[in-house]
Amino acid sequence: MSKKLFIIGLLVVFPALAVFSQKHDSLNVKLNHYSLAIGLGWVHYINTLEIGADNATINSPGLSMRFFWEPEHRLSLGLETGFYRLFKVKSKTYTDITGQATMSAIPLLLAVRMRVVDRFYLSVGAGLAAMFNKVSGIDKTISSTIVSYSNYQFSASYIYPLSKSWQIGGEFKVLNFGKTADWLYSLQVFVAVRL
Amino acid sequence: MKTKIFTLVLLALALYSCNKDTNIPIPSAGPNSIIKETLPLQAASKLLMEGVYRVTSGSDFFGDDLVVKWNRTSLSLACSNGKYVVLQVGHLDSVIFLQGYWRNGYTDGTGLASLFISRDEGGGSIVTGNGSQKIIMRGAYGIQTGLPDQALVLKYMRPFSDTVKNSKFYILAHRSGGRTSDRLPYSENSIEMINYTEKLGSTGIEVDVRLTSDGVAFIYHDPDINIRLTKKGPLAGPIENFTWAQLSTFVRLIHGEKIPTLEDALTFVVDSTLLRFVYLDMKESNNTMAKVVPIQQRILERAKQKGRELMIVIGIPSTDVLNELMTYPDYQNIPSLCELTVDDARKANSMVWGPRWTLGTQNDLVEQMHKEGRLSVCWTIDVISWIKEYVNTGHFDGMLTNYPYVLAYYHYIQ
Repeated sequence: MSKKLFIIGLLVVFPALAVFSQKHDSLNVKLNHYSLAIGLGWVHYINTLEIGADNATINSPGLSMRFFWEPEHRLSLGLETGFYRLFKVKSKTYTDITGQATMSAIPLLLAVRMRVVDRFYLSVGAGLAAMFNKVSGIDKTISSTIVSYSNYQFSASYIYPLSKSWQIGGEFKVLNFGKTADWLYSLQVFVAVRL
Repeated sequence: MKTKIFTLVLLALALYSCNKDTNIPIPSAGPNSIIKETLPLQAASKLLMEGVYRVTSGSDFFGDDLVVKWNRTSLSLACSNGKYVVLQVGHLDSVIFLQGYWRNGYTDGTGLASLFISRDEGGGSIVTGNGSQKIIMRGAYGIQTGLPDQALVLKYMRPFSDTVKNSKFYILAHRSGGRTSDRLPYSENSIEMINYTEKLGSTGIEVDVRLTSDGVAFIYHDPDINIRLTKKGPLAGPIENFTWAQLSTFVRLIHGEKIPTLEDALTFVVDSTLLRFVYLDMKESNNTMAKVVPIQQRILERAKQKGRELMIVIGIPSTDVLNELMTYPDYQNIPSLCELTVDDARKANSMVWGPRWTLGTQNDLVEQMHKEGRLSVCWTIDVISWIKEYVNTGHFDGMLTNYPYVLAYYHYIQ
């Protein structure tokens, strides 16, 4: 009798424990999330200018921002943008007036990122870019905006998790702007937050 | 695996194909050229060489016959198949030497060309200016950078016909004489191209007129500064946004030339060429006329003073430009070329009616224009078979083309 009661007791208690444990499982893993990253660093324009190349400033600070959807597998999909100054060129007119021209760009790229090994990621992206040209010093200041429709980037990044939500990292990126056949590379540190 | 390799090869080819190749270099005989040792021919001697020649050796390459015509600086040979030859000419005693290059305008083909006329095969009589109907040019041509090793022999057939001799037909070259995209040695819409275009057989040019933001008329085709037409520089965007000083400082054409002002380009035409016709293709209509008309008048006056027979016409490509012209005082006395209807040409009292070639030869309308004392020129005709058709059946006074050597062949062969 006592043996029967013991077996019945086990049949009642174990499922109850199992149900209880499911309800109060402390391992709450979210496998699908978003991340937002902001980066700041150095931009180097690969100087392919044929006019004014010798008087060009080709290093400058740059800013980037990206938003990624990070599902449970290795690939992430997102949008990235940024502000990059390509160059500033100074030149003298025949009347010895010095003028300067600058070119900057804001790309908007659809990017795919892949974790290659732990904490190390490779990314490619393609999309549009608004390019801003400004000439000043000679006559009046002229600003022009052109749209480049064929642009792409390759990048490699290292991401170190500080906590469940926060990450820091470094990124090396190569960017091409199709309209003007311009290339630049940038080295940036970034902070990311998982949403 | 094979598919992956194939895809990679395809990608590599696609990337390679993006390389910007803007120029096919003109082959040069180099320091061994005999021309610098020779003496120049007299004007009368030069004329004796002009005419139609049979290609007795090399006809599979240059066609059965070709046209030989002097330009301002050299001797040009125009073929039926899009090839042309540009030769420097000089003589040593009674032997005439011709050295230069050939080019196929429709492909990348080019190479050296080297010929001579011996004393007994016409050289003697040409040098003395006594006339000769028995000219034979013997020599060879090379392929790309190779030495001339393919036989080329040309035999004089006949002089130009009376139809040709009595004609004032205009062979008009596009974009100041040739397009950048045809990989000529100079940029389109440059003074250097204006200087070169007569070697291609041109007797007139079309130039594209724009205005800077500070009101300087200049010649340039596209609405923006781009790496198709200009060397890569720090400016980008609509070219007419910039001032002349800004363009002069920061922009160079694809072969390094400065963008010319309209005034400089036209002054060069008058002072340094034998071109007889300039067609100003107006790219914008915002107050351009007020800047361009005085330049046109000044240059025409300059040409008159120098005794130059030169026609400079302002193009009317749209009703906007027509309306702008008609607001100009005394507009009916401004030489113009109307691309619109014959009625519009009459309204503007255009000197020239210039229909698009795709509308057909329109001989009845062309004849109406002739009766009214106007000329008629069609644009822009590039296909060899159509050039031939239009020269043979059309009544136009000239044609605008990107391939003036083809038009020259079919005109002079008549």
